Amino acid sequence: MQLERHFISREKDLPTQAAGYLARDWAEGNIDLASDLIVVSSRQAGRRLREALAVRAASRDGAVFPPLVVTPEFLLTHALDKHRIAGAADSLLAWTNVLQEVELDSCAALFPSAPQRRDFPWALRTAREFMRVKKLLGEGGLRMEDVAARMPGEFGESERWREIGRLERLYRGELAGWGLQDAEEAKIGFAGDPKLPDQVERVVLLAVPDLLPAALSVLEHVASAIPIEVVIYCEEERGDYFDQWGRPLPEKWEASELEAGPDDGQLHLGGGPEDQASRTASLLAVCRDPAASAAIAAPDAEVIPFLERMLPQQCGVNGYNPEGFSVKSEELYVVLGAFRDLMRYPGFSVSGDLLRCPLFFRYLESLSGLPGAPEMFRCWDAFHQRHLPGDIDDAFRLARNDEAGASVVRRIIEVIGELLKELSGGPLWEVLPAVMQRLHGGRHFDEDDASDRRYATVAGELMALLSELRGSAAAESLPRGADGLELVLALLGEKRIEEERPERAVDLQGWLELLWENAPCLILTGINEHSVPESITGDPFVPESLRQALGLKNNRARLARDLYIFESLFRSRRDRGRVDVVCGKTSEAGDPLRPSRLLLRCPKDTLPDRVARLFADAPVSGIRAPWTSPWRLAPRTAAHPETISVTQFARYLQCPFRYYLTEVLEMEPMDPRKAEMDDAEFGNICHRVLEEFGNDHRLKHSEDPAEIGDFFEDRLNRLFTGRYGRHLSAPLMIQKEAAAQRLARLARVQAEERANGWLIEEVEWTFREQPGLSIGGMPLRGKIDRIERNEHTGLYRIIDYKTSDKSKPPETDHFSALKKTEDIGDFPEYAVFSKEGKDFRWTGLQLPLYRRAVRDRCGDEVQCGYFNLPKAVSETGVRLWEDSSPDLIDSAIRCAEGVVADLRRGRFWPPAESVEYDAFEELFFGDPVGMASPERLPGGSAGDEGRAE
Amino acid sequence: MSASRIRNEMILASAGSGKTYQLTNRYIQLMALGAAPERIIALTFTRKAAGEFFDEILKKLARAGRDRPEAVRLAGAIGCPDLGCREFLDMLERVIDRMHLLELGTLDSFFYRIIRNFPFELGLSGPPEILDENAVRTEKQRVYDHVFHHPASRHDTRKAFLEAFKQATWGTEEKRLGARLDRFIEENHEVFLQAPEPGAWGNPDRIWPEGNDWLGFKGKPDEDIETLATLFANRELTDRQRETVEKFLSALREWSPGAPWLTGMKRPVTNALKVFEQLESGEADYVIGGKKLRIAGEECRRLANVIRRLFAAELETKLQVTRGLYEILNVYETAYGELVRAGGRLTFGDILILLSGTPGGTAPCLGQGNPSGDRLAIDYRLDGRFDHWLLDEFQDTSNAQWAVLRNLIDEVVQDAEGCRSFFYVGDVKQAIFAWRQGDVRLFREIFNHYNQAAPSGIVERRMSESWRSGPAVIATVNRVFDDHAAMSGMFPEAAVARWRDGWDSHEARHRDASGYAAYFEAADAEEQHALILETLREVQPLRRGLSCAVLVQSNRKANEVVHYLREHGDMPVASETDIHPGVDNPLGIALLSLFKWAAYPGDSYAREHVLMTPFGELIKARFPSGVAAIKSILDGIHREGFSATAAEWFRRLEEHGGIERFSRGRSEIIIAAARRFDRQGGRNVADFIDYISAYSVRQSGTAETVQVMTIHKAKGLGFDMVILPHLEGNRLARRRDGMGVCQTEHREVEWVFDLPTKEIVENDDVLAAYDQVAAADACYERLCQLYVAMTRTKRAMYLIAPPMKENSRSANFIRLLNETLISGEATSRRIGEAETKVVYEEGDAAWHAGIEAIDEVPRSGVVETGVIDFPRCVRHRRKTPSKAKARKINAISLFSLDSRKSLDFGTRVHEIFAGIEWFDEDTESRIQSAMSEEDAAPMTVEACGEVLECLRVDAVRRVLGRPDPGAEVWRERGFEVILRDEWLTGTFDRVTIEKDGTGRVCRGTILDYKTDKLGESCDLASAASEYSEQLKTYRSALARMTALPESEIACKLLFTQLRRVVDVD
Ligand code: SF4
Repeated sequence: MQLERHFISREKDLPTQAAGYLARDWAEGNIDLASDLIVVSSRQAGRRLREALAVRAASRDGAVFPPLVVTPEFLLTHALDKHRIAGAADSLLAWTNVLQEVELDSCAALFPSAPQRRDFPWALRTAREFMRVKKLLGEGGLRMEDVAARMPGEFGESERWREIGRLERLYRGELAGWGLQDAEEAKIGFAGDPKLPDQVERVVLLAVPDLLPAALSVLEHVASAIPIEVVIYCEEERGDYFDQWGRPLPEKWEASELEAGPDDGQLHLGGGPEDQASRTASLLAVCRDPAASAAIAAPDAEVIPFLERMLPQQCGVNGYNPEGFSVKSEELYVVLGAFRDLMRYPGFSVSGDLLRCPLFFRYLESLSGLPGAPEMFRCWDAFHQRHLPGDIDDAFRLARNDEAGASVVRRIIEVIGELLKELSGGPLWEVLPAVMQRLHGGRHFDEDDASDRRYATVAGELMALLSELRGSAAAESLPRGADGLELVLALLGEKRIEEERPERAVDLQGWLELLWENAPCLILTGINEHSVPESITGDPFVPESLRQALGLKNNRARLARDLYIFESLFRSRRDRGRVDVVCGKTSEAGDPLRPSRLLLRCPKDTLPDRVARLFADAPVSGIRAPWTSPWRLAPRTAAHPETISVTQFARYLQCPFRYYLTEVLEMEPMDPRKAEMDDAEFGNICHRVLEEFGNDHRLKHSEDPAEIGDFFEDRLNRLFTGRYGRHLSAPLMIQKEAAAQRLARLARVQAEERANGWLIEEVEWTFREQPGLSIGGMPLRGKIDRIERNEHTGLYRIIDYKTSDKSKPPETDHFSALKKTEDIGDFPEYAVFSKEGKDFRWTGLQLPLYRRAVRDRCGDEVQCGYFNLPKAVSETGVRLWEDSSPDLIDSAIRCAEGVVADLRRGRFWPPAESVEYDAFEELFFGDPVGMASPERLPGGSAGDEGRAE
Repeated sequence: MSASRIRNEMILASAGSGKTYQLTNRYIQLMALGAAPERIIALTFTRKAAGEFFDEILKKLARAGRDRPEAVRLAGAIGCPDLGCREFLDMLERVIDRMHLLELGTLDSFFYRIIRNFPFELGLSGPPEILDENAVRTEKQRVYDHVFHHPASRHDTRKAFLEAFKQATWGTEEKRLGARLDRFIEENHEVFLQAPEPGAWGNPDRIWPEGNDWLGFKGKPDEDIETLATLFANRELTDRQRETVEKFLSALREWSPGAPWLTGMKRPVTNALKVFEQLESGEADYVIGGKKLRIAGEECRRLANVIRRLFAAELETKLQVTRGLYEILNVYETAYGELVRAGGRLTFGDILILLSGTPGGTAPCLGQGNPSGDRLAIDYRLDGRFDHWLLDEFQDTSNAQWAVLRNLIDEVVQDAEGCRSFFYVGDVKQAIFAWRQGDVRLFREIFNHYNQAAPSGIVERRMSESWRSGPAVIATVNRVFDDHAAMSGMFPEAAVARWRDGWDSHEARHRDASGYAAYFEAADAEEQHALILETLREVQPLRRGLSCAVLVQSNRKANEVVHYLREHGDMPVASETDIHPGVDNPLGIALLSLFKWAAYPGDSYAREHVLMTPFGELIKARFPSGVAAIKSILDGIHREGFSATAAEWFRRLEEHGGIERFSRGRSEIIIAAARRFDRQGGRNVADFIDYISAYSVRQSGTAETVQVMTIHKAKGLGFDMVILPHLEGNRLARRRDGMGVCQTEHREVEWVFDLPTKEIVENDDVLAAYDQVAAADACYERLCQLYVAMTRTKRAMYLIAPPMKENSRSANFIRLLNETLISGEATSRRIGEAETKVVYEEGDAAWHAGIEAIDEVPRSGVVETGVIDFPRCVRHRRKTPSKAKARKINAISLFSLDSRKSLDFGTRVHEIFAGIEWFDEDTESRIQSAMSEEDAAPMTVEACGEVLECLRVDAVRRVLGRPDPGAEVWRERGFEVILRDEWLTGTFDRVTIEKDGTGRVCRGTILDYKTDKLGESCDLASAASEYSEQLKTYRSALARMTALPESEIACKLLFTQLRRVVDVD
């Protein structure tokens, strides 16, 4: 075997040293390494090496004919026939097929209990788990079926592994049927009889501290024909700390002290990830030009986002994460997920989510007959609020064209329907590109634009995947529709995409890349146990004990590797830089973290001090600022409408400012999750039934409760169906039930009232345009639910239906006695009155204003009151306004005039401190006067004094 | 020595007696006896406690390893006097060495590890995903949606659901489902999990196995009532009696079962019950309208009937309601199971269910060692073998948790060699988590259980010496809780007995420590608040460096106190409640409105809100229209995520007019919270708003603030001084609200019943018995609460409460304190501006006087070292020539599989050209034969065809031909070069290098193949110019490599489809 170890000293950084080593014979011209095969541990390492070579060549005005720089994986895969090897998609498909077909009873040791649901998603998740295990074993040159044979008896899971082996055979058969071979198995096969690319004359294993067993066996094979140089980044004196392949020997590293490591001044304790990041930033700030001379390692991924946010703010540099970003959080991926969900269940609300995807609404905007996006949303949401449809089919049926916006909703649903149909209508590699092309229309992606570039990259990954699927022999068995998309998403989601390195950036390196990092100022952050040294305890298939027994990558080897790396970081900066270490106390979720064992590698006599330092409480950072508001809310100026409705007075009397917000600015929140009728709608639907009843010339004479009840029921059914369709959702069914119950009782009371002589004259009498009906010159609007007259007495009465849960007398809605805490001066003069020596204030003017409205028609002798339909049906019935003395009515009218005068003056300030059911509670933080500002109100802050007078 | 000397131990540790100290000692002792640290498992409840526990072990060992006296002390404490620094240092090393293997954590995390390693065994398909509270909310929404709408549930599920809902709300019509359902599930979810079988719910045979006298009575209610009416009408009655009777009867007519009792029913019914036996005997003294009335015969019979039927109907209804509720929960749970759990998304609660199984279910039990039967052997897959078990806070362990652990512990306790051990510690007097299913009875039960099997298998140790509290506080605690006679007079005997069982008189370790305990009276809430403030002003804890807490019974009270102190006080106050940083400030809600408006432009509330804030001005300044702003926000959310979009808008605000410090702090929290939301991949604005609204963080105060918190949160903490105001409240012996759940001795649910009104419960033997037990349990728990509250302080405790009402018999905290503490006369005292009555005091009221105010301590931070100039390392911008020019890609080709295909095709063509060294007469035939190989892929054939076509063209032949015999050719040759500070990486398709007569390089030609599909009519020159940048770069590189002047290097493009060679300059 032609195997030779070489040592390069850690006096200097690895890339420079490595380049120097490779080009040691070079004198001038170009460095030609084209016949070399250099194995490095990662792509990033390869990049660093090639750059170092180029720099070296440039020092004498030359260039480099680069060697083949590869990762160990290459040794196993370079000569495989791509067309015969199963790709990830093929393997997943094969596994899912096996899992869906196999009798689970025959694998009782593997699946002792049946899965909750054995559907495609289950098979997919399980398949991925098997692929993970297979890959893990493959790294050690093993197949699943080998485990049962090699497993030491005391582990007691051999039956389980025999079953897994059986599944593996089925899986292999599945692939064979497609003319394919599993990738891991192909590598194992190749490792048994390997070869290297033809041009290779020398192999250099360059600072690879954790060569995989399978790759190692390739090198062992070729070593007889080609010289292999194992280059170890360490001083030669430490030669016995490495095996002949340059791997740190666990028994050596476990037992001895490190040659270099942090001193106490280089150790820093942080709290959560945010605190760690901020400490890191302040350490970095010490470095004059971080972009040119610093790097950060963040093996704990939780710290990275905080670093990315803080570095630019605190150090003026960007953090660059060479790991890239996960496709999973990208727009395109999310949209595809939405389509998958819709294919599973085309719910109306899920469709609404899709509608708000820029991709989709832009497409809709490009179609003829549809308005701009915000208008589409408005139509869609209004439709939802009104009809509460379950899925898009329901919605389509309900969207009749006589309603504003319904045609928009219909059109959108049609488009969604077409897309879904198209998506399920063929193999994904045909339908998905077509749909994507359609959705993206004439869009262009500008490579100069970071966000466009990212988008295009993700799209490229998707297309590569689809193209792979199309070309695959397994293509036939790719499910269509949602399941197929699920699989595509699973594969796509595994990808990470590198971003371009911005100018002036500090790299946020992964731990394993650090050997190759040459920045003199290095900050290691998030150095906590489990992040580094990487250790895995427990596994459903291959726990550590089995890993060790099978010769797989294990914790001992990892620890040795990480100790070596850790030492090297300090060693190589001893004379030319500095390393700082930040270790955290808690994770983002608040779990306690332990400092890494690496940090506790110190001479035994200093260990207690080190422990005291690392296990101290994290210093508290920052003092909390007291609560302050960044602004005062300044509602915009708007004009009061020309008219006023009878019900609006109550709101003004309650609070003029809130009145402005609800009645003038018309602020009304929308509940995007609305699933049932709100109180007003519940009331309205009862009103509608009663309206139809009052308009029925025959039935309004009826004294038969049964007959009336039947009518109510029938109308209620029709109204519900008309508005919500035939398939009522559960909440609506319950509301219908509730309405029916209340109406049924009302039918009885109605019959009694009729028997007492009351006959309906008019229902829903609207007096919007009634000439001469105005208060203080402002036209009055209103609708009286019911005007009836007693046949015996000739008396009129006006009735308002109330569907709130509790029955109440009308007076409670109209005035109330002043509370102990209230002073008469708190209210405008027009709003208060006294009666029997007590002070009252007006809180609502509905019924008195109704009386005023019907005066021409019915005269002054009119009763008025509520017809209550409360929850407790026994309390259903009419409650009249008891005291309707002219004085009181006059006072009410005066009050109304006062209100109108105030409105005219634009007096909407100051707000009431608090009101019952405050719709603006969340905006005011208990202090409306402090939180809002009247500056833009129509009356300006003039209102302030207005009220104080 | 060996670990076999170690005994199993149960420790009852009173508050402050050093539980953590004992636990860590135990741990060290085990190691001293030779146990490997990774074989010791220690579990507790909170992550914080677990973290502290581990830290403490290491710190202890470190101290003992460094310091001889420490070593001696520790060695003595663990009963291994021979040990010294050396040994402890060794131990320290050993622990560190195995750090990654140590199982020191929470029960939850331990259970999670098990689940993660046995997915298939538990019916999962892979590693589960843990749902946090916020994520659960979103999932719940999905489940509701499913239950309400989903077509699969359209008929069966929905019908059943509806029936159930009607049943569950029997008698009380309900017009809103969503909120009600949420409440049902919130309140009863746990009960359902304990009793997932319908048979336990509202089942009379289970509740009354002996039968129930009331149930089943029908009678003729109308007739009974009317007859009674007539009978009473003919009696001579006082006005008040008549009125009462009439009210009663008309209420009875109106009332329907299940509905709340109407006014006028309660008194007459209770009075009738008091004489029910007399009624049955036919003669009774019935008190009605405040006066006795003798009734007999028919009157008695009818009245008894009315009562019977009232009871029967009420019980019947409640049974139905209970069954209905079961059905509702069942529908919900089933849907939840299918939609959420089946997908492997679990909460810690779900994990516990999977592991503990349901009664009668098939959950596997856990074991160690070799797997046998249906046991899951955890050792192997968890990479651990646990010989020694340490369980902390055992009083809070639930039955479900114990059910999981039981088998494992059984193995330990019954270990034949005795090399394993079990140790549990806790305080039965601090069992305040019954509402979280903690079951304090387990403590003693398992002790008895194991000792029955093997006497003295577990030894009991009680620790009642407080290291925390000084003598004044301890004396007070003893006076209150040692007075079992007083307790017996007030509380259910069962509760008092249990208390007595767990109680030992306390002692203060630091006998001489100065301290103070007092009980102040203050009339109402306002006065109590003032008293708190004045006390704080007098003591000035913060200035003296003392930690201080105000403990109250509810979050609401905590907020009130905080509010008052902030408004009137002059010291920093921290509310230790959870804050909602997303919505507790104007900036956060404005951001939510901004997003909501963008997604739901019809929401006028959100829109106007935005316009009232500087966001409105920003929109006007930056966007041509609202529509543009909306699209930009949605673009941001979908492309960059909520977090980045929020950050961007905050940044704009900063630029616009700045944000103050408080809001800036909040903005950072919101950005981080949003990032966590983004990570789940959601883009739904409504979900986001829910998430941020509910997002809560625990704010913990420091010694620099007065901390106000609930008693529950104070558990496990200690302070220098504690104020306990607002001690008023209901009587302690009161069954907790909610479902009645009756359990057997073995904690299997016997029955579940939505109990009827008090009057009925008290008059039914079974229910009354249950009620008593439940009340005693509740009473005990409340006693624990007071105990926890009173034992938090080290030096001083101030109890503040209103005076006991003269006629109050309500056995609440105040009564207990009054009866146990007050003996002499109360004295009046003025504290600052507040006037109070001191009804009890112990110790030195001026305890604080001797503690001097401290100067401000500098806060620790990173040491400033000044700016350092590190050497620069060379970093070059990397460039690849083929990417020399940015392009605009159109969507059609981006999403075209054909363009992928042409990419592959291009690669093939390049490969074939690369195969040609110099064009000669054999070239074509070689390609032809490759083309006609049997298994040649169609793409290869096509590519060969294209190359052959090209080779027909003279110009092509020429560039591929050998210019002179000395010429050299590079094919597909990679290079790396630094040019003008840029690092260039590329590959030449083909380079021909000519030499002059002397063998010196004199000319180079670069040839690049382009396989673009160009239309026939395309303008070649402009197509070529697209590539000129690229070729220029190639030229410079080649010039560098060959040392040729650039002028001697020709660049050519071969457009293969058009078979044209084009020169580029
Ligand atoms: S402390 Fe808070 S969370 Fe705990 S029980 Fe009391 S109110 Fe509930």
